[in-house]
Amino acid sequence: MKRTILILFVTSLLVGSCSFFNDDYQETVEQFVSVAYKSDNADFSQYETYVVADSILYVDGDKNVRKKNDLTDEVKSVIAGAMNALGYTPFIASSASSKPDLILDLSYIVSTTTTIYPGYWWGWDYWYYYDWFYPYYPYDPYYPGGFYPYYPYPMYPMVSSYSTGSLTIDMVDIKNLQKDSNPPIVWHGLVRSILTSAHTSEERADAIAQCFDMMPPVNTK
Amino acid sequence: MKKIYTIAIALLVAATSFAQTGHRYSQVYSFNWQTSLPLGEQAEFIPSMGLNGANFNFGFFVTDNIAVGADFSWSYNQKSVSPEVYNVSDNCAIYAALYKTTQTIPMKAQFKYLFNPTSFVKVYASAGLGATSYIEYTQIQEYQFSNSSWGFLMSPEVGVYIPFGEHSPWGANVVAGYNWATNKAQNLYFNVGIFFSVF
Repeated sequence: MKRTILILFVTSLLVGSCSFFNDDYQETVEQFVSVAYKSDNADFSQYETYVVADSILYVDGDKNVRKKNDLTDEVKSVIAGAMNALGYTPFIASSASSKPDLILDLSYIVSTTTTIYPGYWWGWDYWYYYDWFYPYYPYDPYYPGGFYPYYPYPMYPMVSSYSTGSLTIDMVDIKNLQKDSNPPIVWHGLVRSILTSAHTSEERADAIAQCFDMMPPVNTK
Repeated sequence: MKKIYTIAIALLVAATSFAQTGHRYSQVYSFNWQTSLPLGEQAEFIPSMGLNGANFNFGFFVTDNIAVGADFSWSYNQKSVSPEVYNVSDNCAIYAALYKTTQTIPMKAQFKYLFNPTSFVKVYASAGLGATSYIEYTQIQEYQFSNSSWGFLMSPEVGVYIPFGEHSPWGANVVAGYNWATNKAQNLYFNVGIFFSVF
């Protein structure tokens, strides 16, 4: 009798411990996550012109390489559309010394070993407090194209362990940038799993636009 | 019409006499599938019925009517939340789909009272006292955040033992109960399974 009871007990635990009826699990965890952060102190009314980087910095551990590809054009187009809709103007150089008010730099975090353990769900917030202006991945920005001559300063995309597989958009205040100082990031957008899952370009565009929609880089107070 | 009354009365008499042929139990063990409906704060997290769960229960009869024993359960609820914007602070927002799950593990000592110990089908009420573990998980993509607690537990329940045959120690067990807990583990639960009895 003891054996029968033991077998039934173990069987009931095994059967009960299976997760049934969760077909929507995979669909849910494969959804994009968009995050947007706006600096507390930025006065967005002072900015008029912007430039979007013409390449994406691929961060893979210690290897950082800038690449120009189809994704760059796709992302640039979405960001330009969002910025124009918010009233900003694409920058056109009038002289060698002229510069835009804002630069939107793009990074794709292939992988990073940086780890910040969050608390509960709202730990996402702490992540940003920790990383704000914190340079995990300094690199030489010199790039002999049409973009970097406007910006001869080191730049640091914001990353953490959460960023793996993410596209990040860092909006840098060039207008008030002091020489030899960290570039002030006034707005930051992030889309997780933008390339790691099978998503359409329309879905990618929606996810990027969502960053601008939910926390637009304009004065709201 | 008269015929129908006659048949109904005959069936009632047969059922009554059949109902009095049941064995008295000295021990009973039951193994159940458990479903649960979250209540209180747990319902704010996941309001829908959970269909995953298991239950193990045993009782030793100290009189024909009264048994003392223990009850262990595990139930698992889940809910998929479509993507929406969460304003983390005045200057941080997240747009994400969430996958929420909860696990409750109530463990309790149980006192059971059989209303009709000599009947074929036995109906009982029981009261449980113990502790319960409660864990809620929120998953965003591959990241999972959890929040766990332990609480004091009180559980009234009603149930029925339906033997598979007149002399069979095996039968079906159907239970409905309520877990009241000092943490978020409150729920209504429903068990369906089999029991094994010792006469």
